[in-house]
Amino acid sequence: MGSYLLKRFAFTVFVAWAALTIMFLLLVAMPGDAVTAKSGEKALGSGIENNIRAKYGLDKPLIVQYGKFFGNLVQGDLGYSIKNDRSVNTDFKETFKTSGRLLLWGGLVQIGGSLLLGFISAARKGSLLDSATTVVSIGTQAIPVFVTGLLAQVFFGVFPSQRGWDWLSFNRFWPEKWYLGVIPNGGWKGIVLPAIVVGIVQMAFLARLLRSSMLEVLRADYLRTAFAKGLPRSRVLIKHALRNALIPYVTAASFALVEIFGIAVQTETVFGLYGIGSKVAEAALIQDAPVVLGLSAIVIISAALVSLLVDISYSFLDPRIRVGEKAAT
Amino acid sequence: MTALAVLAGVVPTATAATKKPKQVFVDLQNFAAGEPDHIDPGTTSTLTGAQVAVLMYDSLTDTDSTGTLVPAAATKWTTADNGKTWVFTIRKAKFSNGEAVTPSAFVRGWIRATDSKLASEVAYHSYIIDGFQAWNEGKGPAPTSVVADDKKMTLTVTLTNAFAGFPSIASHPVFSPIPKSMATADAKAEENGLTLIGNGPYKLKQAISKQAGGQVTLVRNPLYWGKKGTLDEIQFKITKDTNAAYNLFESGQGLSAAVPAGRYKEASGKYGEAGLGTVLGTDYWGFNWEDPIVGGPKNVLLRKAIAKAVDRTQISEQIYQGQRKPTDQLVPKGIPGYRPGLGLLGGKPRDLDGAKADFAAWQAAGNKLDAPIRLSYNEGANWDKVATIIVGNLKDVGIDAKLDPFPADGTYFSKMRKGGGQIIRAGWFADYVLYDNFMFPLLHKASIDGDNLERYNSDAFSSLVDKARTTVDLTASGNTYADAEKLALSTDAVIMPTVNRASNAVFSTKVQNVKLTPLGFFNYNEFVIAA
Amino acid sequence: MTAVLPLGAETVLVTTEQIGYWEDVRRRFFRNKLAIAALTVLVLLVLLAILGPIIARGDYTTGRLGYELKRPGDHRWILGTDSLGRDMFKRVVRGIGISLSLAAGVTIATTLLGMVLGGLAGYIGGFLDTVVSRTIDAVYAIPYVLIGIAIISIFGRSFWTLLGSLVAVGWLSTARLFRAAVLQIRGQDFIEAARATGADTKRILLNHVVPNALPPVIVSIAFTIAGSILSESIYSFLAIGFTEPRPALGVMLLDARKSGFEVSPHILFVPATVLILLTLSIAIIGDALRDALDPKLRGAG
Repeated sequence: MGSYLLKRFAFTVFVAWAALTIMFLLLVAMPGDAVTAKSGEKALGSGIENNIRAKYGLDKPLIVQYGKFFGNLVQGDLGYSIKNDRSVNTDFKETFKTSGRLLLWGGLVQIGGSLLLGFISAARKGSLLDSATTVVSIGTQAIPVFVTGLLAQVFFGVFPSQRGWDWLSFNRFWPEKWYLGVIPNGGWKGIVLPAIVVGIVQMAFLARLLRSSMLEVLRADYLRTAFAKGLPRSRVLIKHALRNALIPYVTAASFALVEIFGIAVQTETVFGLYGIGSKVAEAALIQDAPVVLGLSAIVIISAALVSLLVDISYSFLDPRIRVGEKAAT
Repeated sequence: MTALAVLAGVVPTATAATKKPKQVFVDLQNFAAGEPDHIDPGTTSTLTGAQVAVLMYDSLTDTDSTGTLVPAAATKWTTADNGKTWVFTIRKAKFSNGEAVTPSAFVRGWIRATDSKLASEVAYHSYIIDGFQAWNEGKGPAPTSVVADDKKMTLTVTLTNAFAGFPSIASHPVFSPIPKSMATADAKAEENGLTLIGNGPYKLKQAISKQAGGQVTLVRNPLYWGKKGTLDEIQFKITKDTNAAYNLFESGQGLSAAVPAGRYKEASGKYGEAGLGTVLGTDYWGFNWEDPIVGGPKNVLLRKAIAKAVDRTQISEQIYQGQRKPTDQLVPKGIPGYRPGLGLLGGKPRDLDGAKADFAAWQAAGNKLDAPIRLSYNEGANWDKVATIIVGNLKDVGIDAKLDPFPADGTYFSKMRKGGGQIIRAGWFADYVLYDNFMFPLLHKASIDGDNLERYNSDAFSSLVDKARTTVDLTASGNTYADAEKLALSTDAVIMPTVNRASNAVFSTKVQNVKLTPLGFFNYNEFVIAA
Repeated sequence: MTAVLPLGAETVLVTTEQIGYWEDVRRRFFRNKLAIAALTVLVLLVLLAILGPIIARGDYTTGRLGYELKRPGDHRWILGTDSLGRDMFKRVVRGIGISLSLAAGVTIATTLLGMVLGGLAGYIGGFLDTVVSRTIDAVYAIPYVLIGIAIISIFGRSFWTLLGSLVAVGWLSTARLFRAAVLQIRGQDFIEAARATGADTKRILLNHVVPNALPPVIVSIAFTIAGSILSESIYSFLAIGFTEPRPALGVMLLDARKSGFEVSPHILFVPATVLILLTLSIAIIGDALRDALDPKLRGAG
């Protein structure tokens, strides 16, 4: 297991390096640079542009800039935003808090909702709830997240408050104070819509997945035996069917966690939140390389950690699989 | 009425048992489309960042809501040599940390703001002062052309050349004083915003924070020399998106918001016009002077045909619901020296017959269009739709045109500056209330590669502007500037102005005494929130 | 690339000799009522995309003053007009065509690229597999927004650059899926048997591996089509996709947002409804195909 983890670690480092190098090259290949990107209707003049280049080391050869970025990254220094001189480390801390909380609550909606819905629709196969889950699962994926977000804002924010139905108005600021960093201390209404919009897209899809893998497990011989032996249905469903069906579910859920990042970009944009996703998108447009590369580095490494955890969780869920065996997926 | 009911209970009530409820203003307007780049007066380069800076800092002079130049940190100013040297008398006042605002504090602030190591994007405003350009470009020592006399409380400024408009330039935030503690503060100092200490009616309470729910918080500066701010606290909320911020405002979460495009009419109907006034800015489209099809003196008829064909009413109504008013002049009303009738259309929004006649005459001279004319623009702010309208307008004349979008501002403007466009989306927002602020940067031949996006290279125009710049009498110089504008617009038709810019803020009906300066700033220090 | 992932597409094992399998698939598919409804909607939309531009001729790009934001049914505008006074019906029928042709292009390119690269990586394995798999991992880690912005900054904005940036991101999941499918088939007994009888690689690939890997690819194609349509709208919404005056669905959705859909809801609802019908019907068909292609469910329903 030790050598496996070491291999996984080397692999993660390689992927992060390769991705960041491609991104560095993409940013270089784009016409202009972060300094020309600063000029708008009002030109800066060559003197001022040179000052800015010198300040951020953009006057140095590309290879030096490239080396310096990775050198600093290894030491945990993400550099400074060329847009506004703020430390990318600070940018990260602030945007991570928002994104992390959004993903946590969105993830809770996604996992909790999908487990519940998937379990019930497998147990009550063919019921109304079962068919509804099918349609909703396809539907939520077929509607762009930004449209869902806009509609949610209108129906649970603008319209209710125009009519004075304050209880139905969830259009609130993102909470400012949190218990233990993750539980809103007042203003909980502010997280409801963004979390649901983030979570719902893949919630129904995961529910469907859980349903079909549970149905598959239920057809297996040993479960038929279990039923035949007269074990209570609920116990068979939970102890055997659910547990075995969780393996493909966890794989899919880990993919969904990566996907959720893309969803978060749109959600953050629609709800006006400053998260990592919207920050990277904004910085990419102005070629603010330290922000794009620094924040992406963290995202890539976190995503790799998540998939490692998923890998380890296989052996937990199914003792027959040893760590590393499922790495091919 | 409903709006009032909705807004009840919005403003956080005072925590301590005070007699009067705390007046806390929650602003969703300024940073609706993202965080400010800077709020440091030495580096802030956007109107929204400058709005915070002007509440924290008083420059030498100020522009009031009528556009008049009024004393601020300076009580009076004189020139003995027709505008080459200016003497400002500095008012006795204190920074929010108790330190005295001396003339030296100004020298300190100006030297810091123009230090090449700070790399401020707005340092160029100082280039009119002797030695500042060389200093900013790292080619000269710290200039000695600004002399402080802390006993007599005077500040003597020597310019590179006589310029009557300098007191107006001195209203820019980059000319703010700073206390001793900030002399070496770099641009990163903002990250710990408490190091920004100013002499304005408000002081910084909380640094910029980009967390969702992030904000810049100002509180009243009790040491301010003038009328104390009416609001106890101003919270400038940072959101990522104008629509989202406006929806929060509509849900009663703030007292002001920026109106998203497409909703001006609805917004003004609900919340009134106080925040939607015209400001000193103009949208226009320019013709690349070097382009073989639309540029140069020989294609003046084609340019005139295009400029006459554009339906400014359609742009004004469909894109801005009448909020930005049609215009055929570059310099807006409100700038001293403004004169109506300088444009190609005599104030009319469109002249289709004239356009057809001019196009026919251009074709009769042996010219023809081989390919659609490109309308270049940067993405965002509905320029795509303005361009779409223009393409339709030109179709009415028989001119074929197409859109040429650029994803990011920087790529767009740097390509246009190098002559990469045909018809170029442009616009200008006044930095100070001066005719020259439009004429020299936008159309003078010395500004080619800079803001003269059209690369308009006219000796006749440039010499008129040069003459006006050295004319100390503001009325006389205004007349010369206006003649120059008429030359560029009506004779050469190098640009076609479309609409005047307007502020796009709305305020809750509870907010009273809202005033807008022509430079786009609001008087937050005088707002009153009705119970 | 998008929220639509062919995750549940499972590899099934058939041999070319099992003629009855495809007959079964067809029967199972048409037994699904939802799928038939979706197919009907899709056929209607395609017909609209083909016939719409013929019926609704005339200018659909330039607007007219005084005609803006008419409600559906007002005068001759059955779907109303947009903020520039353009007929929404004329635009939306062309929007379907644009979405479908973009999706067709993206799907063909990603499927071919994914099948070739993923298939070879899976079958040959070794160094090639490592290169392809690590490339996929690395590109997957790059935010798609950056790829989109870089491509349009470098090559300008056009149908082809948008297609290029969608393919640049889209081939990853197809290749991954196909590689996994081939890996699974490669290890099966009948391949070993074919090898033992002396069949060469080409024959094994064409006669055994490809037909067996087809079911997941078919499902993946359906989801790629839906995903590309969705991606177009997302890219256009983030201002890195199509642009005015092209009546793409994403452009119309973005315009709805920029022109106050809160006041004139039809400018949001018209393109949103068409987009949802389009992607939903394709996704339902894909879902039904997946069920139909999965023999494990045979007789289970």
